Order: sequence, then C-alpha cells, then structure tokens
Amino acid sequence: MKGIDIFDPAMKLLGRALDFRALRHNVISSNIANIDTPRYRGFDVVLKGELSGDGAEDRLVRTHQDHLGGGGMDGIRPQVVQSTSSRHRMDGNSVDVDMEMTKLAENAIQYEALAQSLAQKLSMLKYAIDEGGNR
Amino acid sequence: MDIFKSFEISASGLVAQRLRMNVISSNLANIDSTRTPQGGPYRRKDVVFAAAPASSSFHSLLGAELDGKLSMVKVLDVVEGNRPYRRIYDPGHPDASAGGYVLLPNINPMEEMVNLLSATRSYEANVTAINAAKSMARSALNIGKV
Repeated sequence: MKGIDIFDPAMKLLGRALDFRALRHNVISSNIANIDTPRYRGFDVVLKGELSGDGAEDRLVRTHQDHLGGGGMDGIRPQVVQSTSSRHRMDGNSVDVDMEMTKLAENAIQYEALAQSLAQKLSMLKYAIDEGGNR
Repeated sequence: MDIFKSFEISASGLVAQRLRMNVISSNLANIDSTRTPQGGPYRRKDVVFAAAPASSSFHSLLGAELDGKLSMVKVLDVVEGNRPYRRIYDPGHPDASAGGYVLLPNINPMEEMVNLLSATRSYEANVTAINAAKSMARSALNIGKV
C-alpha cells in the first residue's frame, strides 16, 4: 500500500495558506511602517499560478523546489507585487492608511480562522488516536 | 514564514514616529529661541524618512526573495530647514540688532500641531499592526495544543 500519510493534503494546504497570510501580514506592516516615507509605494501579496487538476498523487508537478507535495495547489505561489495606484500624496507616498488597516484586520482574522482549522484537524487526529487505544 | 519580522518592521515605524514627535516638540518648545549653541536663532528641524530593506542576510541565504520587498522605515537625518527667519521690530529685546530688529525662528504652531496629529495617528496604526501580529502568533501557538 502507498505510504500511510497521517497529514492529509488538506492539512498541508492549510499550512501553506497560513504561510501566505503571515507573509501578507508582514507586507501590510511594512506599508504601515512606511506611511510617512516619501516616494514609497505600497506592496501586496497575490496568489499567482493555476490549479493543476484534481490533485491525484501521480500528477504532482512541483513548479518550485520549495513547494510541498499534495493537492492541486502546487502551481500556485504567493507573489509580492507593488501597488500601481496613481493616487499619491504630495510627497510621492501612495499608501492608503484606511485600506491598509482594513486589510490588516481582515488578514488577521483569516489567519486565526486557518489556525483554528488546523488545530481542529490535529485534535480530531488525537481523538482518533486516543479512542483507538481505549477500544 | 517569519511572523517576528513584522514585529521588527512595525517597531521601526514606532521608533520613527516617536523621533518625529520629539523633533516636533523641539520645534514647538523653541518657537521663541533667539540663541543656540551654534549661534543665531533656532532653525526649524524636520525628519527625513527612508524605506530600508527588512530582509536579514539569513533570509537571502535561503533564497527567500519574497522578503526582499519588505521595508522597515529608517530616519536618515534630522535636518534644519532653510526658511528665512521672522523679523520683528523690538528694540527692547536683548538680541535686537542696531536697527531694533530681532530675528526669530520661523515656526508655525498650526503646522507643527498638524504634523503632531499625523505622527500620533501613524504611531497608533503601527501599534495596531503589532497587536494583530501578537494575536496571530498566539493563535498559531494554539495549533499544537491538544
């Protein structure tokens, strides 16, 4: 039988989503710290790439050596892009503080939701392990 | 992904805004100073902010170029402006010239107050970012708790 993998693809996917959210938080913090820096243009993180099929194990095409296997999400990677907004203040700074604060709050909530999901999965795993022993 | 990097970035924002606040306080306090250690009346000071890369050398070793786009904020310099002094006629002033004119710093309290408000709001925004990072890191700690 193929190797028993107690960490199902969904768990790895959650891990990668957490990485994306953490990177996005860093980028947003960077924008907020540079709110008053002249000529600074904000950054954001987007997911680039395409879904590669239904994630069958024999079709794991890794497009980057850092990617984990599992799921059809391999072709998708986060990318830091610079804002192309033409609206900026007189000193050339284009960071919109309201947008950044909103993104910050939304991103933090998403992160905590993902962390909770992962915690649930692990506790279900532990439950299965424990109950198996009590049988 | 390094959540602690965001602490460093937001902390640099706090430091920069606080320094800006101190410079504004210095301007407001010296609004009528006609003497300085360098001689002459006080000149209005301002801060120069610049974005500095936030990636450590360790990250570049790992080839994590995503981090190369993150920036801390650095205070490059505190510079003196070169606005001309205010001249008022006050022959009784100890630093009046022979013609009775005194040169005073050209500092507008309204302008300084607006800058102070802006610095305060930016400071608070950075504090919020740090709090969000803290609560995210704490909930990540709860993942492994069984």
